[in-house]
Formats: sequence, C-alpha cells, structure tokens
Amino acid sequence: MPPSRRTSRPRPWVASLIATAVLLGTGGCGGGGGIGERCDSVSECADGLQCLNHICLPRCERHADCGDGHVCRTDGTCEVVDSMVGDFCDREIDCGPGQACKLRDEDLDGDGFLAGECQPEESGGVLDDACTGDTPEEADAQCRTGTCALGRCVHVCVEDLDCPVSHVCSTIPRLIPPPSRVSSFWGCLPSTGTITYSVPTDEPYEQRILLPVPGAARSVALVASIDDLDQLVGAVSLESPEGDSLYLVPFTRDEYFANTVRHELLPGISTLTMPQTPDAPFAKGAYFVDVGSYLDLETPGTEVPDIDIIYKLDDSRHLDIRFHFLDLESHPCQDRLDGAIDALGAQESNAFQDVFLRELDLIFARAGVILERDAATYIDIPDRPDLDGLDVSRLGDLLALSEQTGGVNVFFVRTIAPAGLQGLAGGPPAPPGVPGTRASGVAIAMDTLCYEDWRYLARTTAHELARTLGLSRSVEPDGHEDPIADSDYGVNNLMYFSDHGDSDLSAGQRQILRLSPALR
Amino acid sequence: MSTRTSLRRLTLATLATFALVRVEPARGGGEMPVVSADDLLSARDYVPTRADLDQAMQPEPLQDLVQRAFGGPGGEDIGIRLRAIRALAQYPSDDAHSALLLVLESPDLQGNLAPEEVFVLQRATLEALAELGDPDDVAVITEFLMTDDANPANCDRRDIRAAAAHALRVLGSTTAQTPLRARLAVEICPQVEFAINEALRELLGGT
Repeated sequence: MPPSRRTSRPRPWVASLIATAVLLGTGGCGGGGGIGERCDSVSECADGLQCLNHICLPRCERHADCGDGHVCRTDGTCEVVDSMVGDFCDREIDCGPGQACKLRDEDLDGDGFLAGECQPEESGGVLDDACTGDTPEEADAQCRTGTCALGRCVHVCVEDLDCPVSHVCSTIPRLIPPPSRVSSFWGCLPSTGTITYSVPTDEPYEQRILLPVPGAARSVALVASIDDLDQLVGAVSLESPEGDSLYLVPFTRDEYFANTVRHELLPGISTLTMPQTPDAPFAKGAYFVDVGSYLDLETPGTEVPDIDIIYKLDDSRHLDIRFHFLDLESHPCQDRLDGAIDALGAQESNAFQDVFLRELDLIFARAGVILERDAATYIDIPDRPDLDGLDVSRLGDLLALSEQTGGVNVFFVRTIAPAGLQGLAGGPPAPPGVPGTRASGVAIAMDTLCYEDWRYLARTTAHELARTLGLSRSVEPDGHEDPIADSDYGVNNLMYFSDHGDSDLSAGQRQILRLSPALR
Repeated sequence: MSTRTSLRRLTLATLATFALVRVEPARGGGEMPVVSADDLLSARDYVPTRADLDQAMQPEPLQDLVQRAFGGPGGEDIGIRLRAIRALAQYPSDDAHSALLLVLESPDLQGNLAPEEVFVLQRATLEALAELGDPDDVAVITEFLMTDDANPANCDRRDIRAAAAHALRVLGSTTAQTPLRARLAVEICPQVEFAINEALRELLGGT
C-alpha cells in the first residue's frame, strides 16, 4: 500500500465541526432509539449509534460513511462540514454539502502536489464512474467533482481514510495544459483489481501520450491496436518519469535486447508491459510514450491506433483459465489423447485432468499463482475447419475467438504449420485479460502428443502462457537472455526456448509472472 | 521402463549436463549462452533460420540435418528428427531434396515407429519438399492428397491430406490444379476442402 500524504495544515471545517458537535451531541448515553428511529440528540439512540439529521444511524468508520459534505469524527459520529466556495481543499471532505473539492492546476500549499478549492458541485459521474473526452477539460467536466483521471472520476484525498472502503489514497500523475507540464495529486483509487481505460488519439503516428502510473499500481500494460493487419502498431519510444529513455523502437535484434524496456511493433496489436524485471525499481509517475501505426519500421502508417492502458492494483494471484477445443475428432494420435477431443471429453479424461491439468497447476503453484483449476472453462469451437489445422499466419484469427474477460485462453488445435511448432503465444505479451483480440491466448498443437506425453504438453502450455503473461524466454534461440538477473540459462528453466526445458522458475521470474493484470 | 524411454532420458540427461557445462555467464556483460543444435531443433515455438542452423551445426549443417532426418545420431528423438526434416528446406540442394524424398518414401527404416510418429514425420517432409519448390514433386505429394480414409465417416486421415494440399499450395506449381480439383470433387472433410480451396485460389493467382 502506498504511503499516504500527511499534512498539518488546519482544516477549514474544524471550527464548524466543533460547533456542530455541540448541537448534535457526541456522547453515547444509551437511549433506546434503534437504527432509523427519530432522534434529537445522540442520547436518544441506542449504544453504538449516532444521531444524524434526526435519525439514529450506525456510527461511522470512514468519512465516506457520512455522505456528502460530512466528516467522520474519531468518536464515530458524522459532522457536517462548513466551507465557503473558494476555500482551499486537498480532500473531498474539506468541502461541505453541495460542494466538491475541484482540483486546480496549482500546488496551492507547496507540498509538491496539486490541491483544489471548494466549488459548487456539478452534475456528472460519481467516484469511479467512467469519464472521457478529447481534452482533459472535457473529461473533467463529466465528473461531479470536476476531476477525471485514469478514465474515471476521482476524489482528491490526503489519506486512505478519506476514501470509501476498498479504495486507497494514491498519487496520480496529471498533465497540466498549457504549456504542458506534469504534476500529480492524491486521489482515491480502488485498492483491488484492475483499472482499464482508453486514451484518446487522433494521429496515426508519433502520437505522444501520457502514461500515468499511479502510486497504487503494481504493474501497467499499454495495448495499442489497429484494424489493418498489414500495418505495424505499437510504441516507438518510452520515457521514464525522470526523463530517461527506456525504449526506442528496435531495428535489429541486438537493439531490441539492449532496451531497458523491451517491446516491438507488431501487426494489428501489441502490448508493452512494465515492470519486466524485479532488478530495477518500478518508478511511479508520468511516463511519455510515442505510439503509432507503421507500414514498416521506417515508414509511418495510416491507421490511428486505439490505446488502452491497464493497471494491476493488488497482489492477487488467481488465474482463470479457459480451454478451447477445435475439432480434434479422429486425430492422428487419437489413442494418446485419452478422449480429450472436446470440452466434455477433456473434463472426463484422466490424462487431461490428472496429468496435464495437475502439472499445469503445479507449475503455476510453484510460481505462487493459483490456477483456478476447478473453475476452468471448457469450450468447443465447432465448424472452423480453416483453423483446426492451424497455419501460423492464422493465429490471430484463432485467438480472436476468445470471448470472456480476464484470465487466459488456451486453444487446442490438431496441428500447427510449420511442423515442429508445438505452441504459439499471442503477442507476446498478450493484452492482459482482454478477450477477442488477435493476441488473446495461446495455441497448442495436439500432434505434439504423437511423440510426447501429457506432462510434457503441460510444460509447453505453461511456457506459452507465461509468455503471454509477460515473461520472456530465459534464453532465446540466438542466445539472447531475458532481463531478469536470477533467471538461469539452463534447460531446467520453464522459459528455456527449447522443449528440453523443464518447469523451474527463478524468484525474479515468479515475481514478474505474478504482476500480470490477467491475474485476479 | 522401455528401452526407448531409457534411451531418451539418457539422451536428455546428457544434453542437460552438456548445456550446463557449455554455457558461459552472460548477464553483466559476459558472453551469450551458446545454443546447441539439439536445442535449436527442439524449439517449442520457433522455426530456426538458416543463420541459426549454420551457427549451431558447424561445420556441415546439411550433412548433420540429413543424418538426423534419417534418425541417425542426434535424430533418435522424433521431435528433433521432424524439425531436422523441416530444416532441410533451408538448404535447397540436390542432397536435401533426395534426402526428403527418401524420408517420405521410407520414414520408418528401422521399423520401430508408431503410426502417429510416422504421421508427424511425413507431414514435416511434405512441408519441406514444398518449400524446395521442385515442380516434379507434385506427383509425390499428390499421392498423400489422395490418401483415403480408413473410416470415411470420421475423416481419420484428413490431416495428411490437408498437409498435402497445403504443400501443393506452397510449392506453387500450376500442374497441381488438376489433382487438387479431382480430390475436391470427392472430398467430404471440411478441413481438407478448405486446404484444397486455399491451394486452388493461390495457384489460380488469387490472394
């Protein structure tokens, strides 16, 4: 949990709070009024209740329990806040009923963060509601509080208790126009799950966008996509909050591996993830990314990319898995498939359940990831003879058949051409938890079972899934290595490129795997 | 434990030991790990390039691949063998061509392969032959296109026919149109029909 901001600045509502407290009373005198009963003072309410607006109610724990324009006192009673329009505020509860703490583009109290002033509340979205616009001003105007960040309406805050339950007070970078400069403020964000939002774009290439990484984020993924599969899409540069170049579009393999953050332009869709290694701190703040479409590495494209940004906000480790079965009937190595030729057969197959799935489960369990084996989904994909025997060029068409959000997708096909390919990973990495894209999952060739066993197939599947989740090959076929210092080079590593690889993962690899936003 | 399994485990253990010995530390500015031919021909999700093969299989990569393609030293593992077969397409030559034709004709010289192992070798060979692009190979590939099902009701040999149709498409000889059309007229399996139609479309100049 990120540290909260502390301030000793006197609050404008303190004086009014004291005065109001006298009016409402704060003691627990043990009256008989139950929840919802009328009261004129707290003494008329039962122990543990308070008298608020002449109704006996449970005592509060957080300010959000008290409703708009009220604060929760340390004794658990709510008090109305008395503020004037234009008063300084740095949390939503600094402003009284009918007012909102509207963020200004200034650091009003010199603490290094933006602050706001109480303004009449506008109509619009409440906390966590979606907001978007071609300009930041348009987006802000969609929120009741006048503050839109990360695609959602946000309340400014000082500490976690200023936010509703299941939220934390986190730093959030903010671009202030004009002239453009970066600052940040403290705002309430969900404490669990993921945040996904779209960034407006209007240029086909060299579109510079802010990638704001809030303090609460464990990891971030930027997904760039276009409709024209003949064009490449992705980031061509990435700058850290400190202004350091972390990535420049690589023209050679060596340049790819020399980048601090590794990424490449791909046809149709590509995903950039951070962090990629536990060996360097994952800086929170304002990154800048140049994104675009390209006909080739040197020629600008014509498609305006869609940009989605996904943050993982917690340490959740559960991985949902969906198995998709193309038509595997009468497979050349049918005897070795043990009946796992479709969704029903796989659920009844001992080999699939007790060997394949068990091994997959064990591999991820050793990495600290809980594979939701009992909740796995089994889906038949009939009537796709064009994909039953998969040509590598059609991988995207196959993976785009995924439909459910979150987790990972595994597609079992009869064969993959060229022969010898046992699996293919979307992306990699895949857009985490996003279904229906040309990179949403992995394909596994079931003719691998013609000469290998189910346990082996599980390792191959785990290898491909780990690639979609953000791990690189520990050693590439040309000898290049992943960016994780403690990955071993040997064949015992799950991410070793060849099928001699076993199922080990280093501590660093396990750590990066667990940061995937596809986990819940 | 069968002899084959024991042999395979021994081979893999030897490879593992070899890998541990031959690799030099790289991170922090050292040398990159050296990738062996066995590793390269075992890539899970990667098709080795000619440059990869040349580097890993010095001094005679073609000879090494042919040896493995026939199940000789280094080719005892079916996975390695089928990738060696597939990799012969990277070395267009009479030697590679002859070797592929021989493997296609007699994939199981030792007589110890299961039918499903023969299938994966034949499929890899068809793909490699197609990439060599000799129009005279249309006839030999067509034999596989005409393979009938043992049980027509469930298209149990659809995969080899689809692989043959795909190979004819890649080979790119217009002389393949006639057998492709002939098979399409009697074909009942959608997977093969699709592969044939794709091949015909390409051979007729479509995209």
